[in-house]
Amino acid sequence: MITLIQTLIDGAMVGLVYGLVAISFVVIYRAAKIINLAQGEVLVFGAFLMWTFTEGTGYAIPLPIALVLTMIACVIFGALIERTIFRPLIGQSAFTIFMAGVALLILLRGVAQLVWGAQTRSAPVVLPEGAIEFGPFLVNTRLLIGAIFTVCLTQALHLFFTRARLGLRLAAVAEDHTTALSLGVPVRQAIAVAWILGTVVATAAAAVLLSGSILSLGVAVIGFKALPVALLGGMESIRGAPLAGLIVGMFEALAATYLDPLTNGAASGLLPYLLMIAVLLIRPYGLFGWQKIERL
Amino acid sequence: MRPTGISFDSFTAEARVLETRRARVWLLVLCAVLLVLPFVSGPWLLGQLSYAFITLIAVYGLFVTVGMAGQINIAQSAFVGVGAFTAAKLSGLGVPFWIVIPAAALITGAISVLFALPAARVKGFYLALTTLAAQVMFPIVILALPMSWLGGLVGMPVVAPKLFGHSLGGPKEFYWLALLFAAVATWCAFNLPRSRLGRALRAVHDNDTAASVMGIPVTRIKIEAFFAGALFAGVAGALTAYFLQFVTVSSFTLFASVWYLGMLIVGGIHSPLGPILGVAFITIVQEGLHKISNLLLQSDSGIGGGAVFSLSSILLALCILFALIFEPRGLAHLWHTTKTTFRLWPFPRN
Amino acid sequence: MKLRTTLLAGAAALCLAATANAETYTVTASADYSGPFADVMPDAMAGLQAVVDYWNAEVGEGLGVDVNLKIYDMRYDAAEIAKTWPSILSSDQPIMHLGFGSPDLVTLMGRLPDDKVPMLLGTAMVGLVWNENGWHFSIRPTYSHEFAGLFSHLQEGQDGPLKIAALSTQNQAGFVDQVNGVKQLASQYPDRFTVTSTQWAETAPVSLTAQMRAALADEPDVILVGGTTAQVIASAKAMDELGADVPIVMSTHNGLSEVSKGLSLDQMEGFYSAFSFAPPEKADLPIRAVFEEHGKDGQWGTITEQSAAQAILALRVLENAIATVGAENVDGQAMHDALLGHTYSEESLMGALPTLDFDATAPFPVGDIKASATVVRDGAIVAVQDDWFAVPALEKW
Repeated sequence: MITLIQTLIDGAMVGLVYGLVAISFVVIYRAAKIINLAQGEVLVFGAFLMWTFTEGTGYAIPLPIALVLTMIACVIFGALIERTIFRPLIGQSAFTIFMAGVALLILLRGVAQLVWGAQTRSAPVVLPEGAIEFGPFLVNTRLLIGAIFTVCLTQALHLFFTRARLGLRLAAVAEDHTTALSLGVPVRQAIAVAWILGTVVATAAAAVLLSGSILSLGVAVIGFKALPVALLGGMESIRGAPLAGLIVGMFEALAATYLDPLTNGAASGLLPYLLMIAVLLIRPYGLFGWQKIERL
Repeated sequence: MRPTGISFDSFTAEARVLETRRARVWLLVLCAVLLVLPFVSGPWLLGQLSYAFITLIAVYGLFVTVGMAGQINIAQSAFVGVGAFTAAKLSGLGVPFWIVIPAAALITGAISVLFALPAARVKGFYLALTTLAAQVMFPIVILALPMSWLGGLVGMPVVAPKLFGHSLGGPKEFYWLALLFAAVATWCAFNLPRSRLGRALRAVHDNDTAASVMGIPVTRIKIEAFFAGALFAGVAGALTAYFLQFVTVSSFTLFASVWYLGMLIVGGIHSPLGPILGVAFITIVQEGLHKISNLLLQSDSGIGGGAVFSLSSILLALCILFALIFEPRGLAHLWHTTKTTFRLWPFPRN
Repeated sequence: MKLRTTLLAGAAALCLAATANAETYTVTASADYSGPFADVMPDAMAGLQAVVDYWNAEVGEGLGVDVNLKIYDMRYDAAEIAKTWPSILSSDQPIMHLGFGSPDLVTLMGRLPDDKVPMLLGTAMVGLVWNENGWHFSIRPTYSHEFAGLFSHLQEGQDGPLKIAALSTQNQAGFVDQVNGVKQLASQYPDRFTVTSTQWAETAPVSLTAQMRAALADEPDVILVGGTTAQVIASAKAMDELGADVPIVMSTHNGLSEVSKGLSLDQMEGFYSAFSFAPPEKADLPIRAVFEEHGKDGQWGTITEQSAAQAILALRVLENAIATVGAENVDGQAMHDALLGHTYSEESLMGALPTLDFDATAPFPVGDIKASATVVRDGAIVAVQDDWFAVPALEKW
């Protein structure tokens, strides 16, 4: 019983990290109607920026200032992606925009390798290490803080998208670029905001995911783990992402504990993607998405 | 637009891919050059060309699924992998290569249909995501299966193909084999757009509501698009298995799928000429950079080749973006306009 | 074509013979400047080059032989190797290929016997390719042999069997093979070793707390993490959380110096790295003196030592081949026979490797296999002991 509950706690903690990455997918989709395949690479890029400001410069920059610098760099980075790649493609077909995401994936991977090299390095320690004991259960401090952060961020973004004027405008853009333009909603501004939010959230996820761990180009696969989560929650639903993260994380942990020994280790790896296909077949708009998916 | 002086007196003549006698002669010359190449060229070039032919076949598959039917497929490398593993398994059982290759194609096609089935429910991005799932699940499944089935963790050795007791594993013999299949694939890719299925694919690509109104079974056509694309992937996979003489899952990554897509976009997604130009262009750029880095390494200059892989990635990405933003019809269109410009010179085009 | 090549090669050889008056042989090497090992590659290749330069200057001149080391960037990619290999064969006609890692192994293993070129790897073998009559060899036995050497040393100091918990990755052939070999060790010597559990983890895990908790439940004496650097670091962090302090045993590719980039040496106190060439930190190592003298660039370290050891063995094999067939007639076959036909003493290998003996039954040294290890002691990486460890004999698994 203790194993079961501990497994669920661990799964939930990891799942909320997936949820946080999924939110970065959702904010971009919600505001710009772009599924950015390169989100994992964006996250790695943010992590590398964080490493640069905390350890890479050679100066001992205090952590808070380094984090502020990282966030500024992320905002510039997000704006740069929007300005150079996605602004020229406004109004193009979904196919073209998807492919631009593919190109972005290759580009970021190449640039990261060129600038920072392929070696693994230690990621800066941003969050405290260790674990907190709750009776017989242990909770990783880093992931717990990340989980609390995820929940707060979700609520804040949800309010932004449903209450703030700018947030509501972004929703109009996600509906349709042309319609939004004809209603006087500045599409460019919306997409810029989407990318800046997306990179900042992804970098925050990198901080939670990698703090005190190892940073390498391979970390980018987290993007493909988070994509099924975003889909399950519904691509438009900020609040759906962490909930779906919890579900995927807990099921994955259960599968790792109880099914992997029987299936030669495959169960936990396959689960998120089987779930994704099931969602696509049964409820393509996800648990909390808008029910207007293109269906036949 | 055709140059002046070319007219047709029958529909068959007008429907030909190669409209003029001159085009047919050029094609014959090209074929002859490619056929005798092994007698004058070294094995380095033959190895590169053989691999480029295999890549070309895989990209033709994408041309059918993505270019013609408009269904995004980011699992082409996994489908190539399915073909490779099928070929390795069958050739291990002693099946000759001329049965292995079609069998690999069919099995790959059958598996692709599984992942195309959600086309009945969703489209666009969402369909692309099921192919993403296929790509990610492919290595996990192969590795989890018992070792004796598909080699599992180790991978499987592949015996070089044999014809009448002669091994086709040498660089020359394999080059001819790859050339043969690339030629067949090229013939298919150029003729498919003119067939009934090809026109149905195009209709679905342009507007699937309109297509269904015209009586095209849209879901079935989409699934057939995946199936046809995977047939090419299966052939490419079987050839890859024979080429590497060893298959492991680590050769068939998501990144490879992305590169295939990149080649197609750079070459041009709407014309069967696109894959040829895209594969040629990207291969030349990539191998050129790699050759330079090897020369630098061997010249003792102390410069590592580390930058090369990243540089070729950056270059490919920039080419894709450039194509998407400025020339969505890719190199194929550029080729046509250049040709027209030359033909009409000194008069301006249009 | 064949005639032309032969003529050209003959002409080239004549020119070289006329100018340098020395027979030139090419040894090719795979490098990985653009894959996962890009960051350590300059050091690795510096190690190879330094030893070849040393040999040409000190030994080759006397024998009238000059070795040309030709490095190819294979990107750690099987397709790249398959594409490049035929042209290497015809243009370089190497007498030996110095391989690096599993892509070389899987791609070339089947072809080498037909091509008559032996391959010598610097990376450890895996039990998966423990075949007879292969032309692929490694200077090191399997990872499991190397671990077994260290485990045997650790077990000698205690009563009862050494309890080993393993952590590995399911989808990496080599990593799983390490665990299988150690399981074989435990089944052959049940009174000396037990494997308490095997935990599975991703290569870049978010957290290993759950796995470590399960592993620590059996109170193991050591934890074997032969996979990635990230796994070692995550395991160490998880143990901190759980308040445990069990030594982690790792290999070289995720060794102490790699891990120390992510963990302070204080946190790694008592951790081991097991391998089977001389610890680079060992005092008065002749091979190190050679590198310091002839190395143009690069830093002395584990990977440098590994490739220097690989090069010195290859060149000693060449000396034996010359002694057998003469300076003009060395080819792949002669190298292969010389490798199998002689014993190579620790002294002739300049202390880089223990005394090695090869035969056709295995792709790695046979007989009394020796291993070595480094440990973090008082915040510094030191050799566990100056002597080699004897590795318990292992049957094929």
